[in-house]
Amino acid sequence: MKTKRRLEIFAFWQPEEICHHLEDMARKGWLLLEINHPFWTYRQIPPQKISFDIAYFASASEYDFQLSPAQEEFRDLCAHDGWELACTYGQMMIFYNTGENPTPLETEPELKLEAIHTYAMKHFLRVLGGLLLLLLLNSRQMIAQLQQTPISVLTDNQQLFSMFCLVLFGIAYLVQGLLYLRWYTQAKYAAQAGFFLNPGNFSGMLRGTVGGFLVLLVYQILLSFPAETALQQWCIVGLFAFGLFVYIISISITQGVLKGRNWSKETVRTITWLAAVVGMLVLAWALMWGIRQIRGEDFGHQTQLSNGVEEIPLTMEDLTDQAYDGYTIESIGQESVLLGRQIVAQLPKSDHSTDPKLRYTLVDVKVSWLYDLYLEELLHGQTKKGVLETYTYQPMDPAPWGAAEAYQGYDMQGSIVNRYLLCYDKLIAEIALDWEPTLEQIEMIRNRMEQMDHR
Amino acid sequence: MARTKFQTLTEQMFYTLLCLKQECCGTDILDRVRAMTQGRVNIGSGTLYTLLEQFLEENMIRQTKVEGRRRSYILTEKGMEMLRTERSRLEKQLADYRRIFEKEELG
Repeated sequence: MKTKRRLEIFAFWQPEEICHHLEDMARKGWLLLEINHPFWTYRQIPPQKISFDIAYFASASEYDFQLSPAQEEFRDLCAHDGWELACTYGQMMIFYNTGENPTPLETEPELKLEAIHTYAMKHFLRVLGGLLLLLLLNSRQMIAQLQQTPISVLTDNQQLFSMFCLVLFGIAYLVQGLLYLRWYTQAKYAAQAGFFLNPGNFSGMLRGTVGGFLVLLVYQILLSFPAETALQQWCIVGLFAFGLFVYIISISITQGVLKGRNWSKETVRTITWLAAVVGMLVLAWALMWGIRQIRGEDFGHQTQLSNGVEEIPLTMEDLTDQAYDGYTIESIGQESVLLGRQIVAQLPKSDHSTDPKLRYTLVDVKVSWLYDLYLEELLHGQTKKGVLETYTYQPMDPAPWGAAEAYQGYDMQGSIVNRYLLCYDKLIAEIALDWEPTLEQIEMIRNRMEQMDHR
Repeated sequence: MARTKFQTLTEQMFYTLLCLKQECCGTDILDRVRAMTQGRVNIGSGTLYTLLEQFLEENMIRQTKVEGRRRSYILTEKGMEMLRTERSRLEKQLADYRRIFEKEELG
């Protein structure tokens, strides 16, 4: 028997759309044999016109592969009208009929609607409710993070992306939920009037959501696993795609193997979940291993690639005209579409050294209306984060710094500390020195900051 | 407003109950309704299965025997009462129709 497998994405509570697809497949010579979600297996038949219909059997479970006595009785009843069972998947029983204009399985619109609604409530609306709850909980956390540390959140592409995805999928599912409820309300009135109102193209929406998710996943991979060359980068994306494909196939095959066993629903459910979790862990390990191979890294060695600016805009050498050989320079850059941040520290190698130290943070504001939010974090960040305050800022004359606004740091006893917050047009700089800068040094800082601001 | 369950009967409910005046199983009902209505009313197997389950739940029918996977049912007094109520409703409708049109014809 020649068979073929296809990846099918349908909203399962849209029987008409699934039936039209199966009728098309039969006309092309393929009859549905079984469903191991998301892969549907078809067997080859002579191309012909076959009618399909779907019944929803409320008491059936997706983990129970054997037909219950009630389902067998139902199958026999359907067979009387020429309906043969093609396959079952969870509560769905998919029948086909080779006769001309067979009587549909459901002839009472109200009963048909309630069967679909019961199924949708179980499979779609519960998932939707769960997702929306998750979104609400996450939104609360995200808003709190945004209020406390907007710079950290908005420079972190991954966090920004996660927020974006969460909001996007929340909206997508909410829209689907609302459209479904609108259809259900209208369909109820239609059913009372004696006809069945077909739902809109929810499968199309589902496919769009899945497609959108995949595109965003690729983007997330590109952000999360940067590589040195484009080839390496696309190999990593390819590896993820392959890994995901193998994972889905494995789950699908597990379902297929379990179908051949006469095991209880509970056993099947446990094995399915176990296989999904173990598979996910194996997949995660394999992906990490694969990424290291592609990047040419050794195990246990982590390369930190920053996507920020590698250039160091201001050094101790610039300020003092001396060489600082015994110093290290650390620069961490992060950049998103909204914001860039570079944290630089030039420190003596010895922790106990009394040699001068330079630390600064440059915030490159790309969206002007977020400027005040960032400034607020830098001015009052310690209070907002709830950490013990070690300094506060007071306004000072910005003219020597060439800034629009400038703030001087004070310790908690009210003494001046050499910490400055300088506001330029698009740049906010927070500079901490452990000496009092001379006028020449202030001039140097001003020049460098203005260069950065106009870059 | 949604139809109150079984307050009125749809055609398919009516004929299903009518068939169960005599003991019969699901497949018999499918055949009898078709024969009784000369094919005008066709009940889908899925619809019939649900209706039988709901009628059983409401004690409008009762199960009489089980032969393998085939269950037979018969109408109960409550089911009979439902049929009478429905007949009365239909008769009133018919009477109203006649009153209106006969008036017109006489006029």
